[in-house]
Amino acid sequence: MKTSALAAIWLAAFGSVALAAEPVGTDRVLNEFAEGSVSFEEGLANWQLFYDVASHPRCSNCHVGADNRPMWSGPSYGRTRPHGMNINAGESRIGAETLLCSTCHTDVEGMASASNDRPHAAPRVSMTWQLAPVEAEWFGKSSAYVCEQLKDPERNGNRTIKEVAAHLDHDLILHWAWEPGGNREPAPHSLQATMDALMKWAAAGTPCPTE
Amino acid sequence: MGRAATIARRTFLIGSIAVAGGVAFGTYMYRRPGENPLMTDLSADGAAITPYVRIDAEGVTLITPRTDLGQGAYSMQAALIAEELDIELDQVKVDPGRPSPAYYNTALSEEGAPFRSTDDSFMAESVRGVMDVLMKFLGMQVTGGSTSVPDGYNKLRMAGAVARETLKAAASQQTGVPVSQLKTGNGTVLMPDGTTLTYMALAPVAAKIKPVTNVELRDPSEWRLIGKPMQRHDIVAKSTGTLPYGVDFRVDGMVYATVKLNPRQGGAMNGYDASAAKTMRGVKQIVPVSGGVGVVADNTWRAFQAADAMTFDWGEAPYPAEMDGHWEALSNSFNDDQIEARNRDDGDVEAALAEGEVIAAEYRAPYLAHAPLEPISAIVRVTDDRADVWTGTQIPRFVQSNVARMTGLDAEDVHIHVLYVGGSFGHRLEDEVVKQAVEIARQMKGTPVKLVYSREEDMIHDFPRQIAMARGQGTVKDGKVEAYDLGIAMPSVIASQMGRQNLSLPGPDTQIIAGAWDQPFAIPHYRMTGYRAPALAPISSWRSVGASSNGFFHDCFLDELIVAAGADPLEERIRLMWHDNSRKVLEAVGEMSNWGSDLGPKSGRGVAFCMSFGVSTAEVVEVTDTDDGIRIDKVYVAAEVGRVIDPVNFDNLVKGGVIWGLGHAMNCEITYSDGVAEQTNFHAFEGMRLYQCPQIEVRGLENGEKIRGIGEPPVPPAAPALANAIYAATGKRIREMPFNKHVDFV
Repeated sequence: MKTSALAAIWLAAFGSVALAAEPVGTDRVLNEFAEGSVSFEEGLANWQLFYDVASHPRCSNCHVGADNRPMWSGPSYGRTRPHGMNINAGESRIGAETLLCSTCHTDVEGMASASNDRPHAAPRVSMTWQLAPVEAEWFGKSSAYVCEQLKDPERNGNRTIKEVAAHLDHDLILHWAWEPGGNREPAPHSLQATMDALMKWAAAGTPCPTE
Repeated sequence: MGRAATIARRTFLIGSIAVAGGVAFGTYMYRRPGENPLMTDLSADGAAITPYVRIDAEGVTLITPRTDLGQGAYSMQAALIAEELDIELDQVKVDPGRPSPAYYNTALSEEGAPFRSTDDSFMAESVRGVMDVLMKFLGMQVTGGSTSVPDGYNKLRMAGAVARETLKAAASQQTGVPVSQLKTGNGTVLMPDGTTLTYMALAPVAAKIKPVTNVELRDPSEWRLIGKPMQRHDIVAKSTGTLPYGVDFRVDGMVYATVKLNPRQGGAMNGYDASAAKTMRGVKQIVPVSGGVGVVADNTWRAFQAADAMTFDWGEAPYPAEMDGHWEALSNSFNDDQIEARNRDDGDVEAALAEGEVIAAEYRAPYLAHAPLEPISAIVRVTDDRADVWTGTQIPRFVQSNVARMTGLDAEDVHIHVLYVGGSFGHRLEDEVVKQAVEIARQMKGTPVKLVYSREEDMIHDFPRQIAMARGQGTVKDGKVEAYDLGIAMPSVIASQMGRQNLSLPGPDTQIIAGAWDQPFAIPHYRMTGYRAPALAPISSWRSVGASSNGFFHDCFLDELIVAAGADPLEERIRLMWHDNSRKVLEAVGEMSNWGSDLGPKSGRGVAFCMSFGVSTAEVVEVTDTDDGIRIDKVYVAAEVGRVIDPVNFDNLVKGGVIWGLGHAMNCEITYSDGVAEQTNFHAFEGMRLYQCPQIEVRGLENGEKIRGIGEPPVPPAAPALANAIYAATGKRIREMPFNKHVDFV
């Protein structure tokens, strides 16, 4: 409750930044913020912005747990359900031991040729389609849980937060979240705003909301 | 070898030879063989020896009138003819031929007659004889009911033998060498001096002589092909992606069409707005068809796009809009007024139920789509003096007469070209797609119109498997099953299906209780009642038809009673079984699965038995209850078919049937909401996946007197064997499909 009130104040002040015209854009920058230059409250509000993104179906549908079953949720699906066609990505998280995700989610040369607007066509990006690692289970998880997970090197691929933010910029599946095509709702804010929010949260000392 | 009377009665011969054995009253004229359809468009020096063998300058062509749906029917039919014709399979072409009463299906009548297939009494045989005539009268050139093998087994070998002996007579006439000194082999007649005359060279002579019909079928010990693995005709083409299925077929100058029909099956179309679609790229015409609109474009995709751009005012569904209404209609059907058949009432069920503690259960089976991978399509060209239809169909004769009726042409001016089918499961026992294509083609005289359904349209407008409900009551005594009373309610699938062909169903619908009433168990008090629910959503035959739901009901409830009695599931089934050959299939799966051996913790075995289409089939399923859900480990199947034509194809058909049965039981249902099927594609109608597929071990038994088909019988026992295995592993009894409502599958 308190967190969301703070977020609302923060958004009122800085909200315009979060609504970039081009959600992915072409010249993103990894903006650095000096440690301590961001207050605890502002850090929390920036975390909340990140959590808006992380908990959005475009991200969380593939950040699933150990059952290795991607989810279909969000407005374009009508109701929440496991991925259709009886799909299971296996422990490999790419379907190696079951049916490769890339069987339908085929790689494309560049995003421009992805044709993700075709109804029924599986979305495609210019890298191998796969689930996020099982440690990064976000689907249905609280803000506090995801916050603790993201700053835990054991569960975030042994990355600093700066490396996490850089990873957002380099992982092309993540870019797709803001340009999903078809009638899919894109992730909120923008890629730049999401990277900035992570960096500000780090500058504030990675505060996490309590449950 | 086959009894002469059987051959005489079941075999189509040619020329003026009358077939003996017209025993049923008023059947004489239909006991006469039909005309040979191959005589009509034969080349000048070609010969058509029996309706199944054509020899001309192109070579030898075997006519295989049962459609190949992927089950290998063309190859199997060709092998039966080639066995007696002494020709190799790679020396012949196969051709499904044209629709003709000559190709009526004699084995189909067996399923329609109300006798157990274990009953060979004179009465049963007589009824089958009359039904046989009925089938011939209707010209039921139908592929279905697991009948292609039993129907063709004698008939096609006979056709090969008649052709062989006629060719020998032709060679004798040409050379003066007596027939007794001639042999055949490798597509030639062998002279005593070692020279050979090819069948092709002899064709002009053979065409002019009277066919030799007094032939003996060979003893199985002499067979070259039957009983051994054969290279199927379609395998290379299918494996290399070069086989043209119906949906791939092209005709010069054709246009492409699709349809939008009221998604509430059979509901009216009150109006539509096509203004947006008319101006779209490639759109040629938008024409009303029955129940909807057809869109014609310069390719299928553009037709789909334009169809999606239209808006419609659809009428209400002529059945309950929501599923509750469907289940309620079934639930209300268990009353004396709606009894369709009580084919079994052994002992005194009422008294037995009054005596012991009653075990009761209710079972449910949902609507299921056919959903073959190849959506339905048809190409139709109509001119003033003929119509041509290219389509994958199981009912070419019905298609022909329907097109004739719609166009006003004579049936002989309607040419049906049957194409390869990419899966059917009963889907192509319907011909709505052809009727709609005719409606469009009639308005574009001379232009071939290829009508293709989108996947969504195909699933929404499929006539699904019947919905059904069963209520069982029973008692046990001294560790044994004592009383078993099962009522099954479903709408009539046959009435729904025949209604679309403007035919009414004579007598009760045997499918309402098929796969349940005729099970060869000797339970002291044993009653089976079929209740006919009112017509709900339109339905159609789905691989194994009534038995697809009833095998599940009958066997699972039996399993419940056996468990309540504290008996061993396999041993008690064997103890109750009075039919020797059926007992042998149970014993076989017991041996194959090493029944009774320890599977370890969290694992369980289930056994199920179902006799359908005259085939006793038993299956054992082994499952493990893992942390992530149920894993199906192994399946063992034994089936009694009289004779296995090709062990490899047999194995394939059985495994396919098991996977089909298990996959649907695990995941699938069609549900209606606002009168519309909610499942429109495979994302919501999920097959078993390769990684979920158990090892399947198959054994075909050949103890039976009669040869049987294997397309459908593996399906009914699959679901109950799985449900019984899940019970054994978890203690959870599942009484409705799909099972994933109650358990997860790994």
